[in-house]
Amino acid sequence: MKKPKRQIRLLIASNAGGSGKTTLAVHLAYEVGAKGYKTTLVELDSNSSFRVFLGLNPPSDEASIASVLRKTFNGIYPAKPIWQEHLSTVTAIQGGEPLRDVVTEINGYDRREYVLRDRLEDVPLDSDLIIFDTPATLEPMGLLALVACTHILVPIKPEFKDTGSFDGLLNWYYTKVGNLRLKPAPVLLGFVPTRVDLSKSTHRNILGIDAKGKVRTDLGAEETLPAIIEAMGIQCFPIVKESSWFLSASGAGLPVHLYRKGCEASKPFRSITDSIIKAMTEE
Amino acid sequence: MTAPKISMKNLISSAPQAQEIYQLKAKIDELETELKQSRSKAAPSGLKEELETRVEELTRQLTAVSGEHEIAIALIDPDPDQPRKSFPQSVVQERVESLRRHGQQTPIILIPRSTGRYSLFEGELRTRGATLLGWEKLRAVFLLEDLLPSRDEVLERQLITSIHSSRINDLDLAETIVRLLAHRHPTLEAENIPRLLQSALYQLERSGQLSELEQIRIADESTQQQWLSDLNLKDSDEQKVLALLLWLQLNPNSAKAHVFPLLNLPDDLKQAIRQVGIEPSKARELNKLSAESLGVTDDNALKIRSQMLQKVVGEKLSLSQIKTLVKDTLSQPDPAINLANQQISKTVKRIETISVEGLESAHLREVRQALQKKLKEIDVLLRK
Repeated sequence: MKKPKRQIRLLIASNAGGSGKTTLAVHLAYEVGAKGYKTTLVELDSNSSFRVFLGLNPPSDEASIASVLRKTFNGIYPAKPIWQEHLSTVTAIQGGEPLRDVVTEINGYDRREYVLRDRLEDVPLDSDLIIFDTPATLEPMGLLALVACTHILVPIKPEFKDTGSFDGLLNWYYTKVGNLRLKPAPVLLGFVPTRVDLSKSTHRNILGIDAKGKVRTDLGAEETLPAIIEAMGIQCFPIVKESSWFLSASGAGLPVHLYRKGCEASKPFRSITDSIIKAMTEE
Repeated sequence: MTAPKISMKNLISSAPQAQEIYQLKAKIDELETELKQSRSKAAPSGLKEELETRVEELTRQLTAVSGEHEIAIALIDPDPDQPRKSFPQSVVQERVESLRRHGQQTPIILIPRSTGRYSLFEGELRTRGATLLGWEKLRAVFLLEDLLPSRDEVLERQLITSIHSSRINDLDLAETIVRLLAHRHPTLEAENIPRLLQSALYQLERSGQLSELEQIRIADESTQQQWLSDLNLKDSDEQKVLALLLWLQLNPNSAKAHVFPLLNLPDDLKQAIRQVGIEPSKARELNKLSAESLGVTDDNALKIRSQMLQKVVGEKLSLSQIKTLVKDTLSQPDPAINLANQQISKTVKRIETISVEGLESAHLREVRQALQKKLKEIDVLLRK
């Protein structure tokens, strides 16, 4: 295990619902944690998807990230260890219902967009990797996370509507980074095609691949999503196929790695994990 | 109309532009800092040359983003942050000569301000030289500080959704159109826009093309563009105004008749449209109750309109009822004013008829004190 040189704060952002944000967050947390790096999942969503995905109870006010964002924050992060039977490196901070109230409170703060970053800088969280899971609406929580993060990863379901939203997301990113003068700007780690169903022609056409997942040659460079994204200098990670194993595993509060060892569905995250560790450990 | 073909390029249209602008802005920030440093002290000549190359590069990129424009020198304000305040006569004279002989080689860089004026970012010597030569205009490119095209796009998108779902009122529509035009064409002056539209429509009327508008409004984009370029309007600004309206699928003729006039409404009526939600047509009717036509002060006109507005809202008056009411009000002197007049003449009479003879000195003093106090108040008001 290479020694980490810096803390990575990864924002998983998408302004389309059902794009697999939480699935991505949970599986990356597991993989990076399994390599021995301290990892904390932070849920900035009042809908509490962590409850299901991690098998947790609904959080009280003190156990929610809401307590960190409040002015009364006591300096102790309510991070709970998860998957303890399997590893000791991963913790999670839930969002849930208490976040709803805190939103109006934050609006009155002088440095509202900066509140999460301020907290993490004033009282550093002892983790090598922090992953922010956000709701599909980018503001306000996505904006807090954008200011606080060092890297961004964007899951996208290869459908027309989601592609349009993705365009909006990138636009939002560049506008906000410029307007809020974020220096250095958070790095766009890349985008991940998620919930891919190769039996659907739309998915194949948008991604420019065939039914076996191989790159097709009959489509022009400007006609596929990965080509356009890569032309902008943004990396495209390998596809994550839709799989019922994700559903079953999330029902058990586990990543597929633990739910069914060696499962095909656990493999596509590796190159993203490598990228994160590289960012964490290299100069 | 045929269904538009969905292409990836269309779906991912705003992000590459947003990226380009972001990167450009980052470069500008960097350059700005360096320029300031190099101006504040004598920079080594190598650095100066390198900076000049980079300014050229920036100018080229800005030209690509926003185009080149001819700007009146009178509208250009010097850069307040320019640390170099003294420009030796000889240096300026040298520039005057080079401008006279070779003309303006490269465009200056300006920042458009919301006031319609421009701040100079780069090109102080050329501007001074041109002023001495008596030139009126300089070629310029724009550093779009707050007028990012990406913002425009967001604005346009929001506007289109609002128009199509009829959520936007005509007043907001009018203001947004003006803003959009100002964003797209920074040289257009906002107050000229209604006049430009009027002039364009007048030309269409004379060429008998006014009736084509309704059809062109719903035609596809390339037909619209072709039609516009065939028009041969006197002024290219007129074409810009028409182009935007058609692009938004609005009929320029009804925009002239119903939308733009709302810009001239007084604030109280604009507020009534926005906050009370009265129909713009009703607001325009109430606008006939102006200080001028009522023959009263602005304040009084405001009072009369606000009373009328309450009646309109409270009794849910129809447009024709309002018309009658407005007409009556204009033909009759206002009762509220009459009342005030009556009160005043009564008061004056009473003061004149007070008999002071035979009053005790204490009472006299009391009356004098009261009158002096009033007089002071009156003096203060009259002095304003």
